[in-house]
Amino acid sequence: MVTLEDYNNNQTPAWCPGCGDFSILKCLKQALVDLGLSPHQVLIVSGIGQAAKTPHYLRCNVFNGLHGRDIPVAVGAKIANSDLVVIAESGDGDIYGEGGNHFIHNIRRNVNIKVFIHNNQVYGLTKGQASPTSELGMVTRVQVNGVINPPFNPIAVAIALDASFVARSFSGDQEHLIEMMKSAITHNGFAILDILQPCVSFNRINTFQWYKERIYKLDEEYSPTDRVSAFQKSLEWGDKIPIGVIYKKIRPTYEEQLPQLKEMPLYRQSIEDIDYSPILKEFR
Amino acid sequence: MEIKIMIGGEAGQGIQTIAGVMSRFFLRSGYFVFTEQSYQSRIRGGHNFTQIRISTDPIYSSEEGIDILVALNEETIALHRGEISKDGIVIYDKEYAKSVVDADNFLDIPLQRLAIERAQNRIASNFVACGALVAILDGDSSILEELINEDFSNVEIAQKNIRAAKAGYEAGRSKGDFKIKTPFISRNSRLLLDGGQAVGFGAIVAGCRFLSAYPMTPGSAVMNYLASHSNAYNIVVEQAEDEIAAINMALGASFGGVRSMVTTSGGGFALMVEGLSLAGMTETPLVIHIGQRPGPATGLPTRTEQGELLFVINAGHGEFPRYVVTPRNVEDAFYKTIKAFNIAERYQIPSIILTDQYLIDSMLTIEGLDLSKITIERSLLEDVPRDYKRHLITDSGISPRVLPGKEGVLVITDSDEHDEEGHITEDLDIRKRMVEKRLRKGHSLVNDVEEPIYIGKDSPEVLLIGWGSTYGALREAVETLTKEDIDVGLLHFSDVYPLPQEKLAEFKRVKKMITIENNATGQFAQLLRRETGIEIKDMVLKYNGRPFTPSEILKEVKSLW
Repeated sequence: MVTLEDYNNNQTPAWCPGCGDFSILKCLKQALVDLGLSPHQVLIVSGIGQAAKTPHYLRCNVFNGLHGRDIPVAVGAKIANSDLVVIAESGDGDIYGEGGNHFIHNIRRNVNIKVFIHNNQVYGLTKGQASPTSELGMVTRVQVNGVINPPFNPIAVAIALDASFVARSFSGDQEHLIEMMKSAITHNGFAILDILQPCVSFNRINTFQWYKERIYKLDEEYSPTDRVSAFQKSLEWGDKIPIGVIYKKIRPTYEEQLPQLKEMPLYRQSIEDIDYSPILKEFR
Repeated sequence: MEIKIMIGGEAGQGIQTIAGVMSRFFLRSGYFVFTEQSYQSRIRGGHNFTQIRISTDPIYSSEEGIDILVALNEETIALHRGEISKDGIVIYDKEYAKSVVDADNFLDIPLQRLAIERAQNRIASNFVACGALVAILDGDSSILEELINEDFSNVEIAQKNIRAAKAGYEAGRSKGDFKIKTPFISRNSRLLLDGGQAVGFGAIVAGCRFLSAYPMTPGSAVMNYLASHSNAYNIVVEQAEDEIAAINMALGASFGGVRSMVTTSGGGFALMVEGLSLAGMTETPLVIHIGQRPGPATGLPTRTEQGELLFVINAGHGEFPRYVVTPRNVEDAFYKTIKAFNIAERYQIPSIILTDQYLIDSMLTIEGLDLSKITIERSLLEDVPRDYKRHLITDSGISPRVLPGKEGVLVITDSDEHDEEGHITEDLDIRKRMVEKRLRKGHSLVNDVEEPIYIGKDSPEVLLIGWGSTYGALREAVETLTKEDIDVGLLHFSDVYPLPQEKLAEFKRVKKMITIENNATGQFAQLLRRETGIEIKDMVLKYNGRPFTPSEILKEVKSLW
């Protein structure tokens, strides 16, 4: 039986005391344990930023790559080795900003990977600049007169692209977050989980209290399979912020559609003793 | 005996199709063939041409001059009239070239009318021209028919093209007898392939099963080739959203356990450079194919140049080893692509295959490819210890590599500086040891680079030095000079980085060294000086977007004597 102990390692997180990342890390370990996954079955790919340090703080396979490029690495690894549960985990700046093009096109590609975004609406590691999800008017050391670009709405974008699984949770509600992580991991397809999270050092607006007052859980009456109502839900922000599975669509995955991956994972297919003489005939 | 045929016309007239068919026609008739394509960056219109050079003796490059001009439009005649040899022939259609003055060597064949009559399609003019060409050269028309049948799986289209070719053949026959002839000689087992096929076939044989790329001429030839064989050999070819995604996907796939590559051109590689550095830092094997074209920026998208040598050798922030090979011809490209995969996994570094549009798009006749010579060296650790560390510091610098997913083993890597386990660190002592570990791999790599080949006498008066696709033209030029009793040798590099230096040392006393490069700044000469201190004073450089011909090199070299 896999236990939480199996996921603990000797690394010390380099996060600020009180950071929402601690809570997300704890939930991630619990979700993996609950699903009975062993560390060697899990690959976490991350980019750069405070959130991107997460995979170092639990026992699993790790590819900590470049800023914004976690999703392509995760997608490549999953195509090569579908035995692995592959999670791309990074922040809002990494995935919605630098990696925006990959976010968009991999929703279309629908490889069976999970994307966990620590969304604290600000840049932490570079010390407090606006992120793509920062609120209008937020004053930072760079946006000295306040943010003038409207925030990026990842949920609405994902639904517009008919994403396979779109959910939102909050680092301050661990029970909910564990549930959402488990739903994302067990979903067959590209699963996006936007995790709202306070930044105790640089975001004085979207504090723990701020979220606490606004967040509400989607109840059983809400149907995440209706795209139009999901889109409406995705526009809800301000006084009330919904969390839960906002949109779900059963779509064939990339892997299911490729004849090359039908028989067995690509990395297990032999590349030795293959007859290439038919190709030689093409050159005659 | 040697004949140079040029087929010219607009984009969209099917020049490439008949160039392929006619090249194989001559191969199957027993000739050595070299086919060079010159095209513009457009889908329709413009002026495109292909030179098919055929000979009863081995040939290695394209060459100046035209013995037969197949003109599918009037502009082709206007542009190339001056290059036609004394006994040269022009095959054309007076319907589109009314202003052409009739001369004995201008054979008016109603290409368009026959195409419409026999194939109900004006495009089939190209196959009418093929038939006429075969008739005039006294070739075996059954080979032409056989090739059309093989190339067109749609029986109806094949039949139409065959009818068009037959009409052309009859029309050609009616024109009488000509001096230039290419009768059937013999069937043989020689192969005819272009650089895109050579790199692509090499990659498949090497076991590459994942390729991600963003289309860019001429690099896309390799993507197209792997895609066309992806079902037969279970290869995943993924068209990425951009080059940055392409290289990161390939790194992910390689980390996941599959031999992976990307293919692009200079501009696309510029976007990949951060990923190149990531391969260096995470010690993830990766093969990168770059088909050079003239820059800067978009440059001349469909032309050739050797302008990225120094860029490729120096690309990437930070210091890490890499292997760079510049194949000299299609045969070399096939074997070196396989080598690139083995080196990438042995040293856990990026391997770069640097070709160019001339190599990628030109077809060369070779005696064969020996598949029994091929070995696939994955260099993976079989028995994994319990305390496995992905970035273990070793004497060779090479850390044992394991694929993720094995029970009890974790594979951890990081683009940040990391400890032996792979975890992020700011321990400056570990940093220093990791830098040295990574660089040690480059020191052993020196033993795996191939020395340049040398053609000529032991101590020549003049030494020509080249690299990459200039080999064919240089070899022919040197053979001609040698026949003229001129004391010259050719030193030609395929592996260029790390720069092999043993063979070079034998020529320290040569009075004159001339580098020949398809660029404007003599990049290989700069590399030579940087790596060996040898200073090259004489350079032959060409940078108008076209490849060297043997006669051009002869002229340039003689002027430096």
